[in-house]
Amino acid sequence: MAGIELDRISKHYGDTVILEELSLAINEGELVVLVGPSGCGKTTILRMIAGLLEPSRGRIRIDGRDVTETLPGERDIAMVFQSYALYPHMTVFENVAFPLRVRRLAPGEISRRVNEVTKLLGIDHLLGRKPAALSGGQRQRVAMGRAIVREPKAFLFDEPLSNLDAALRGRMRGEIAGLHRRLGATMVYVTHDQHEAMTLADRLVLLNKGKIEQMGRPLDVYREPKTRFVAEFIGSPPMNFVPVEERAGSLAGAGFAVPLSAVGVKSGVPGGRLLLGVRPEALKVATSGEALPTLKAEIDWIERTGSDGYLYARVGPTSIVARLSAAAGQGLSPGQRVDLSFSQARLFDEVSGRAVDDAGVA
Amino acid sequence: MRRGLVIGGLAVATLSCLSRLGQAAEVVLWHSYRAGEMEALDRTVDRFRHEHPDTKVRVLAVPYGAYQQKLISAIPAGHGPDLFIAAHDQLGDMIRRELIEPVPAALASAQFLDETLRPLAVGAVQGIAAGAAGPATPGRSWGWPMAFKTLVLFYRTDLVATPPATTDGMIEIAHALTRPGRFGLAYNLAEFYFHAPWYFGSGAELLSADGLSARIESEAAAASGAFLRRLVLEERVVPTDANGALVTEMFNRGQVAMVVNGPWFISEIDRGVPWKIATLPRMSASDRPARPLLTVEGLFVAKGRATPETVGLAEALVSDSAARIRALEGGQPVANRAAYDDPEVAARSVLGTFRAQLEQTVPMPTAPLVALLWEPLNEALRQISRGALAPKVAFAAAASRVRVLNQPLPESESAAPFVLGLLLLLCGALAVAVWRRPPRFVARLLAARAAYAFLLPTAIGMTLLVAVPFLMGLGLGFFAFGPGEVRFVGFANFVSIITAAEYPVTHPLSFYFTLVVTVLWTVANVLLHVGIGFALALLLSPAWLKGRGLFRVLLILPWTIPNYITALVFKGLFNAQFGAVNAVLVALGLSPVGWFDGFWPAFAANVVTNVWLGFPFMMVTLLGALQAIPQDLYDAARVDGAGAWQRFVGVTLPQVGPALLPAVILGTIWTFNMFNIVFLVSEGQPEGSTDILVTEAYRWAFVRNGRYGYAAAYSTIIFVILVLYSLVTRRLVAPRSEARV
Ligand SMILES: Nc1ncnc2c1ncn2[C@@H]1O[C@H](COP(=O)(O)OP(=O)(O)OP(=O)(O)O)[C@@H](O)[C@H]1O
Ligand SMILES: [Mg+2]
Repeated sequence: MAGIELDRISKHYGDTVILEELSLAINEGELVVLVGPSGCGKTTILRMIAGLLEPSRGRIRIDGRDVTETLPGERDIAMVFQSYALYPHMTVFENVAFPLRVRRLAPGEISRRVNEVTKLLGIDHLLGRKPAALSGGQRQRVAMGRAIVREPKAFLFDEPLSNLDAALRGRMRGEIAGLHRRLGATMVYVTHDQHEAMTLADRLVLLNKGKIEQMGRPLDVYREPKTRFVAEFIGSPPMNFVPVEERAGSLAGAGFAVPLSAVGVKSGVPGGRLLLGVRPEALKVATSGEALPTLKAEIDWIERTGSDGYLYARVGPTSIVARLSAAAGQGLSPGQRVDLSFSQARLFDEVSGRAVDDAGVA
Repeated sequence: MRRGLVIGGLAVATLSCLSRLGQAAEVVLWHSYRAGEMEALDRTVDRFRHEHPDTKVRVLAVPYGAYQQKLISAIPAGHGPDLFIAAHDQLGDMIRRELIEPVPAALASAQFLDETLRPLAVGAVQGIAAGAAGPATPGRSWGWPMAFKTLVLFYRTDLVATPPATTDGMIEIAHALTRPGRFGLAYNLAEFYFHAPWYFGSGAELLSADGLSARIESEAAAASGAFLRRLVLEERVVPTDANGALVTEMFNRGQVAMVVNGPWFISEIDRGVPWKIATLPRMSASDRPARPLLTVEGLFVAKGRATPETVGLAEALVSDSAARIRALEGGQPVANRAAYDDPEVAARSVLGTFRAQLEQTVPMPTAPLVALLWEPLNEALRQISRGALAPKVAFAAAASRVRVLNQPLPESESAAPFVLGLLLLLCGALAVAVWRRPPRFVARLLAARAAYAFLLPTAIGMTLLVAVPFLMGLGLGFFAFGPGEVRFVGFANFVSIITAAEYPVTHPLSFYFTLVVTVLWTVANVLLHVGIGFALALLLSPAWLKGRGLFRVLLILPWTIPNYITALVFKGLFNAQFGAVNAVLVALGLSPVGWFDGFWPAFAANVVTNVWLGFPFMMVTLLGALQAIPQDLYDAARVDGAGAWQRFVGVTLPQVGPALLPAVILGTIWTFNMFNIVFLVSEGQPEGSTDILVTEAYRWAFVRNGRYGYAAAYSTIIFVILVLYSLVTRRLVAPRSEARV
């Protein structure tokens, strides 16, 4: 197992800049998830690590060794593609065995390792089939098997689950997590899906337009988004933003005012336009005599999914969402005015999008 | 409805009667002249119209290529000409088919040159049973002689001062003029017609007097061969690879001083080239004059059309004054004695020379057997001029080939068992069809009649254009065609082909020899098509290659050119003396190759031509297949550690396989039947050894005395081979659903 280090890498296509001076160090045995909107450069980074793309500038090191100019096959890295890229004319066995055959291992050794890996993935009963005769999940497993069988230094996953249905995706997610625990391998995992990102990652790297927006442990990123972009990207439904102004130690919005302490900031708030960021799950319908800060809102409509529900409302001109427990919404109806209290909030500068915390503008 | 049909039928009948009435007063004349000869003929016809305003004359110029065939089909059907002009060597055929009748009145024979009258005389036509030819009445003729064609010696007056009187003199002059890039003498060596002067001048003959047996194996024939050998190999004054067009070009450019050729050559000589003609020299060895073949163009009356008007027109067209016009304006060597006494004609030394040559000619034989002689004789000449065979041996080989080709037709067989068998087979098939018909067959058929009505036009077209010719071809294989007869011979043709008993297996006429060559040809071509196509497709597929669109277009070009054009171009490139390929070899310090002298070089020339034509198809197919391969597969293989070769074997090959296989099967069938290339490039040379099955079938039908039945049997066998091949390969391309993702 090995660490991967991207040292100020850039990627240009002609005049189009895809990545600019991006540095990232991935520790040995760590599972790093790259998330970000479509087109932000996730696949590009992965393909550069694999050696399928050459960076325009910068160095890549694996296990301390500079591999920037090394051929993909010599980097000892495995990659699982979104399309699985199984060889259609080969059986499951041959697919999994392919990397070993290319390395000219002894046939006995090959079948031993293939059997071991396919058993581990629960596809040992499919060895004679061709990919066309497999379900999506089975193909996915074969692709993983082909990656695992060589015991590489690191694994790269490019949205490996995006072609699966929701239920299967959940199960495979669990399996990948288990695999990571069992193999203790270095993994770089690219996804669109914040759920996958939150549950799998040792460390989350959030990319935007070719730059790292924030990285850290998933919960830290969730709790303390450094920018409005991160706050919106992580969490579902996304964080609500209500315009406020600082007025004599408190934050005043449309028909409400909350103390600065409610956002964990003591002083030094800059003037100008600010946004109060409150996650839907932090909002509650206030009962009378509540100590928590509250927003005054008018209900638009209420959505119930059984276990819980969402309340759509307006604070002044701003639409917000609150997540309700099953019991909490009883007796509310559209048009009604309610007080919504919140346990946690974060303040952002509207212009720069950056979070405002103790140290002032971060 | 029915009444409408009756009225319509009556109207058609009346109209056709009327048109026949209209024709009665009209004389229709057919000819195949062009340019000057045509204009001169038209003038004589105009003169006749002027003098006989009440006789209508319609003149039709029919293209030469289709002329004979048109006469054969039109005259018996009643819409042919009343009068037509044709060469006398077709007489035997025309008499047998009863296309003509003898000139009604006694000919004013004193009017014409004897040599032109003789070949047309009733009774002079060889190989015709006396009954069909009519009694040999002295003075009766099948037609009026109009003009004649034969060979003379053309020479450039800037190179040759006085024409040679003997062949030794000719060789001496030629020798003095031959130097690199120039030859003293040239003529089309590939055709016996141009060798004929030496052949007959040596005292050899083609046929026995009755026209029933060949006489091409003789001391005299060998002597003519020795003379050819001397011209080409010993004195080297004649280029070996100059065909008709090249001879003309060389004469015009001054690259050859003397040419043996006929009157048609005059119009091919460029203006400004100083030339004259002379009669051919005496053969020094035999001390006899060289005697070229003579063709007389006669004016013939179509069977049953000998009306006074027809005869009137004929006599006007062959009159001395009309002949004078044709001689002066059309440049024709005419058949009328008086024309040559005319001072204006006498001033044309050309016509005088032709007339002088006429006295030393051999009329083209009319016996059917002669058609069989050309291919073996041409082959013998080719062998002699290559130095491959001694003259004597070469003519002996030709004679034995004629004997093989001239075998008597197989015994006639009763068709009854075959007809019975066929009927039984049909009944059986019908019974099976009825027995295994789907449930409620008739009811469903009736219910869907609108659908069948839509299919009907196509079905009729397919039946007429595909099924009928195919079945006729199949049926033809059970018949044998001889001169003037057709007989049912059962399986005799098939048996003769399959057992190949008449020749050893190594003989090019043997079916098995040709089959092996065909398979070799197919395999070599398809391998090279796929190999080169694949290599180019791989070169042209990477996205980073600049200008690959342009390269693709350039490489597809060979495919877009009609293949016979390419074939002719390559034939020129491979010409041994004047071709670019040998020029390059010589420039590289290598020795030139006689491309069509040996089996392997000739085979290679064919293959090169066909590869040039065939690789773009494979390239395009493979380019498409390559582009359909997902890039991910290559990426995955690279990450898995596969090198370029392993990616090719592990990803590219299996991925293009499904597209490649049908292309290979199709290409195999095309190549197996690639008639044009073999027919035009090597022409089967040497000795028919590079012929493939289809060209061999063609030769049996159209070169070897019209053995249509034998040729049809050949085609049927080719068909069976290809059906078997596609049955076998169909299993290979059967959809393997598994293999797709
Ligand atoms: N060959 C290329 N030429 C020019 N631009 C390219 C090329 N390949 C990729 N790009 C651009 O690079 C950017 C990053 O692409 P990349 O595939 O890394 O995105 P991604 O983050 O993986 O997106 P997604 O989540 O949709 O897979 C995109 O804007 C894309 O248009
Ligand atoms: Mg991507």
